[in-house]
Amino acid sequence: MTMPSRLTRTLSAILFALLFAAHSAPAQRKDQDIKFRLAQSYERSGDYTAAVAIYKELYLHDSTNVVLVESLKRDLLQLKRYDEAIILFQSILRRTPGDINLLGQLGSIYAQNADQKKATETWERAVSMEPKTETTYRFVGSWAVQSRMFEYAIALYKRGRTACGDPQLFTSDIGYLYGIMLNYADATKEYLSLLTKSPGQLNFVQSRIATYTGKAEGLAAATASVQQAAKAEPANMEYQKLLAWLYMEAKDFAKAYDVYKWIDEKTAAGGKELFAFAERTLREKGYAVASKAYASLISSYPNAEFLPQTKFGYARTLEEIDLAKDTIMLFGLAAAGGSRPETEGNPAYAGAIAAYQKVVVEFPSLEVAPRSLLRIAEIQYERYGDLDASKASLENLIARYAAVPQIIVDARLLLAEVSVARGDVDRAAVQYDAVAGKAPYIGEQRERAAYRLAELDYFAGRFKECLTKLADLTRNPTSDAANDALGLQIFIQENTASGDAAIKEFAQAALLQRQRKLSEAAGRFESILKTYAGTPLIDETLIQIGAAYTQMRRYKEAASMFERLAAEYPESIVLDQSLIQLGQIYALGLKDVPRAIAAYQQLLEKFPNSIYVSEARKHIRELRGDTL
Amino acid sequence: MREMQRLSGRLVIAAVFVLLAFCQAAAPAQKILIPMDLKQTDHLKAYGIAYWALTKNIEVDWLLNYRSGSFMIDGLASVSAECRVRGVAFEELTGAAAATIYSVVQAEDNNMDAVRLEKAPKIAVYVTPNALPWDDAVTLVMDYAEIPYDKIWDTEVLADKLNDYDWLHLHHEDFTGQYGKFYASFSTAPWYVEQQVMYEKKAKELGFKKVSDMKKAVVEKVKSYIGAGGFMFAMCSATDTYDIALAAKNTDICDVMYDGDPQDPDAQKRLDFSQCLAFENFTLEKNPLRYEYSDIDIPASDMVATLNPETDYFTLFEFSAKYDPVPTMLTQNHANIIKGFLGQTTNFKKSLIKKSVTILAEKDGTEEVRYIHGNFGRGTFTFYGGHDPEDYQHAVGDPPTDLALHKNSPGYRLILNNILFPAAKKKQQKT
Repeated sequence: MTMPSRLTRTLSAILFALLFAAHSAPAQRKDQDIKFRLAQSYERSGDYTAAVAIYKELYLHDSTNVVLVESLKRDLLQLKRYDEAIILFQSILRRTPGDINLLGQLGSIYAQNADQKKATETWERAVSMEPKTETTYRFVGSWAVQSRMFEYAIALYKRGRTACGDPQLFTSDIGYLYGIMLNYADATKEYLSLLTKSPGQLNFVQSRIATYTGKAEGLAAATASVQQAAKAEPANMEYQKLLAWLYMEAKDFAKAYDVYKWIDEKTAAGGKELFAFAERTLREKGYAVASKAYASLISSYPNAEFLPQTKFGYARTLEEIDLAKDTIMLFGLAAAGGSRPETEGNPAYAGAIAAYQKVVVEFPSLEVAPRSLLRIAEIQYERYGDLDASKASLENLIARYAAVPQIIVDARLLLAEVSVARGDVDRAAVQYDAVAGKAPYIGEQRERAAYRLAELDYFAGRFKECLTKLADLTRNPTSDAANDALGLQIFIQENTASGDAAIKEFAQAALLQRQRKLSEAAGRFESILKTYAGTPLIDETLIQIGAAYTQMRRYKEAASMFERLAAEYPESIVLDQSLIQLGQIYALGLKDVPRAIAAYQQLLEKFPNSIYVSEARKHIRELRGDTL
Repeated sequence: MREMQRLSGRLVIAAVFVLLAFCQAAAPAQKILIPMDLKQTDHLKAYGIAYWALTKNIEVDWLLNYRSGSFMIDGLASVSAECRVRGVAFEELTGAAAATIYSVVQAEDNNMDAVRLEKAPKIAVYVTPNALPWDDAVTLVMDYAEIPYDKIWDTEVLADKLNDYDWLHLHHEDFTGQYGKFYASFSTAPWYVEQQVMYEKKAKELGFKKVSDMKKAVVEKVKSYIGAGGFMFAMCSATDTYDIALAAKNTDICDVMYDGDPQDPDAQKRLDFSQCLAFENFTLEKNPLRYEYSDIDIPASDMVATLNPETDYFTLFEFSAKYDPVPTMLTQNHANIIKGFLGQTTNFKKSLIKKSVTILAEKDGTEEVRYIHGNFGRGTFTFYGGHDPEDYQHAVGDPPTDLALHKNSPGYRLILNNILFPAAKKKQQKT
């Protein structure tokens, strides 16, 4: 054999080997691909055991394939074959012992296998690979969180801070973890730390803390933590803002006021922070604190652009504070004509009126001026019964502020009421007419004016005209005025059937009552009792006398009227109304609980279908102290 | 197993009858009848009156099938006053009139009977300490009817506190340990996250590795309570999840997001239906993201859109009052056909209900069973599908139903029947 032929054979053998390899490698890959797809099909059909067998076989050929390793791990865990999964990861880790992600995964497999000790050991090994790197802690921490080992994750993140030399690291993560573990105090402390690092994150921190301030314990814990921080760092503006927000969440307006005042001063906000606080507190009915804030603003910022609204707000708070103290509210505003002052010398509301007057004088061209005039007129009428003063205020308002139509409408309605009270029904009719316009009446104010116009006819004994006007109002069954209109319509129709002398007398007495001439009204009603003893009006008359005495705070006399009604007119259709009022007089006026309950029970017994039944039941339960 | 025993009080009732007949000339109101037919103004509070009377040691006769399950109480002024205060319609009867009613009820040819209620049952509601964002029909109706109850949870159940109670209601609960299977929709909602942490803490505190293990221990305790003579009532998902948890005693049906590890792939095969109270041969819903536990619920929770609220009604069965007093008590109502309502578990598939269980109500012509009752040991259990009888599709976050607007709700009445029947005086069975 010659050298060339030997060489030729050798070259041929190499060529053959190369050709074979080139031919068989793709075939082998194709075979593995088919097997991998088959394993995936098994996995999708839920046959994890079969899938694992194939994945394992493939793994023997290609242990570096990440997708394959992931699939094998997934199915081993699905089958709870944790030991095999652990061996798999340990074998991979032998090749890449410093892979933090693989160690994190291995730790989580130990955790799933309920071996928390091994889990934490493995994670600690991961941490030891790069103990001064933030991402190490973030990686490992996320595996711990996924394994719901929250306490370990918190401890790990905290260690990460120290190791990385950044005490602000992981604050948001730790805060969240404390929050879901219901440890609201520590959660808040973490968020405070975040706020220290990033003051611009106040809104984010508020939103995080708001996830638990809906619960009393969450709000209390957050407030205590922020209080402590604010005390330690009184100059920290974000802490103060957070504290003020928490106080407002708790509706602790007094404490919030102090903080907002401080913030306003320190930020040189020129009163804007405090003004926003006062307006919000007024809306939330924290009148005393809002008043204090407004007063402070008035004295501290006499040239502020918001001064008109501040002075008006201040006056509103004074009015509301006096209203809350007003004993005429004993029977509630709903008691017909009941919310009237005891005497005109009542000093209440004087401060409010003075404050409103200042607004009018100082800002005559702004909308707060007519609003203030309207408030003054209402106090003068509703609280003082000072008809002349109220009239003058309203006329002044209407003459000067015709360009503010919404306020003018309210002013006209009030002026009409004042005119009725003054006995000037013609002038009242002009005002009501101006508001009502022509039928159909659309809108609450127009309907109200139209109803009042009909009432004027009723008071004057012009029943036919009254009924015509009422008919227009009853066409809109959805309106409040329609209900009142129907009631008056039926009353007139029932009591004019056999002559109208009695009802005319009654309407005149009712006008006196509307005019708050209570003694005169009571006297006129009592004369009806004598003159028209046999008419169907008598029970209604007794009710009205009782109501007048109630308004005059002559509770015993009022009670005797209602009791008389019950005794002498047991078939009366207004007896249920009488009994509910009797109960209220005993409960609120005479403080006689047993008699109040007896009155309500009588109502329930005799009038089980009365519209007052629910109210009577509620009162009985309140009086006997039931827990509902 | 012990069936609710029948009244031995035939003699008692007869004695009442004679006594009343003698007393007819005496005081005008010998008895107070609280009718439960359409004359009743507030059916729900009427049960509260019966309960209230029992707490005052005033005996109450429940007149099964007489005017839709009326109550007869001694004609005391305090009873009538309380009826008025609570807005419950009642009729004052002379002795003779009451005796006539008793004679009608006792007549052999009338499917009626009188059951003497003697003692106000002590009630426990199994409920998580934190308020969930939706309400529970049973606590709603007990509050409305003014029937007092205690709240208990896993700690109390596992400490054998159940023995202190006559009647147990399982609040809308998932005993499988899958947190209502709300994961797909609410896994990031604060209430969901907090609930899971709270449950896990409780499990750890009580020495369990997983919440599902703790719940398994709880269902076993409840089962023992029933076996020892307790009365258990469950609605909505507390019904099927209770039985699923019992069946899954030896396996893990929870996926990784619920208990940190995957389901047992052979969970279905390992279910032990012999452990269940009411169901058998059901198939688990293994998709952890699907809002359904098994095929017991019909239609499935994610198929309820196929139901038409206008035509969704179920029908109560009628039982023999004299021979089957317990099912009769449980089905007392002024309506036989009742408006349907959805829940996480709405109806039970008939083919999966054990033969030993009594079906009390179903949707005619379908596989859908609404209301079932059965015995275990010396006690009983009742399962009622759906969430809120007066809110067709009550969703998470919806406001609670105002029962003052549903005073005559037939659906809610069924719940209250359950509360009163443990008060019945036990008597020897006829059959």
